[in-house]
Amino acid sequence: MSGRKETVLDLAKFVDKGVQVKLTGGRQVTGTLKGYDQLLNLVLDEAVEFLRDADDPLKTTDQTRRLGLIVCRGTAVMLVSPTDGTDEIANPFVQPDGT
Amino acid sequence: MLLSIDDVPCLLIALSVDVEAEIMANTNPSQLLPSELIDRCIGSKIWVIMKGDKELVGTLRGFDVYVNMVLEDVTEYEITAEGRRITKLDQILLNGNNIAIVNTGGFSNFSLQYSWFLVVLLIQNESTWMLA
Repeated sequence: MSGRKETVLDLAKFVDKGVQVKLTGGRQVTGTLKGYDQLLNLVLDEAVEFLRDADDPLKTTDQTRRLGLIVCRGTAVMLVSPTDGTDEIANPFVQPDGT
Repeated sequence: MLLSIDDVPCLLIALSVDVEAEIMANTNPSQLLPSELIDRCIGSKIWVIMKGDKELVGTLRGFDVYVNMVLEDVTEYEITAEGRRITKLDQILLNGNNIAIVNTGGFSNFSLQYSWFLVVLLIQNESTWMLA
């Protein structure tokens, strides 16, 4: 008996806080977490999708579009991270040109 | 302890209260369940964004545990570098496997434009009231 099933990530502490979500296929969304279930389906309010470069779909651009109240399918969720206390930095492992 | 027949209903009530408390502890009522949100959209227009570059707008008729969906009066948008390719479909069963996002509240640009329209309407109404 393993007892009560525990999740690796306790999303309860992110409820009503800003989260960033990356999805398979490369889409990237931020929003306020309003709800979730065991399968990692997420409800995000005031969601904003970061649009990608048409030439290089791996890169996100500054362009965004507002989505509103959405459900992110758990089957497509790759990454969930809180926006508070998270900052994107330049890649420190990139070698400068010519070295 | 000896129990008379009169105590039985009390015991039953005590038990049911216990079960209820346990259910309340397991499901947080302040939280919005994803399946619940989609269920509320049955009968209304939704916007489905696929993992790839396809998006669909249509009326949700039903869905299952895999979030396969039955949609009606569907407009399919395929976003390419050249522009959007639009396909109209009467009724479809959409496989849930490739769905990334289900959008329930508003349609980005559309809702923005619409809210401005409402503001203008409100201002107009107010000015007519002032005149009256």
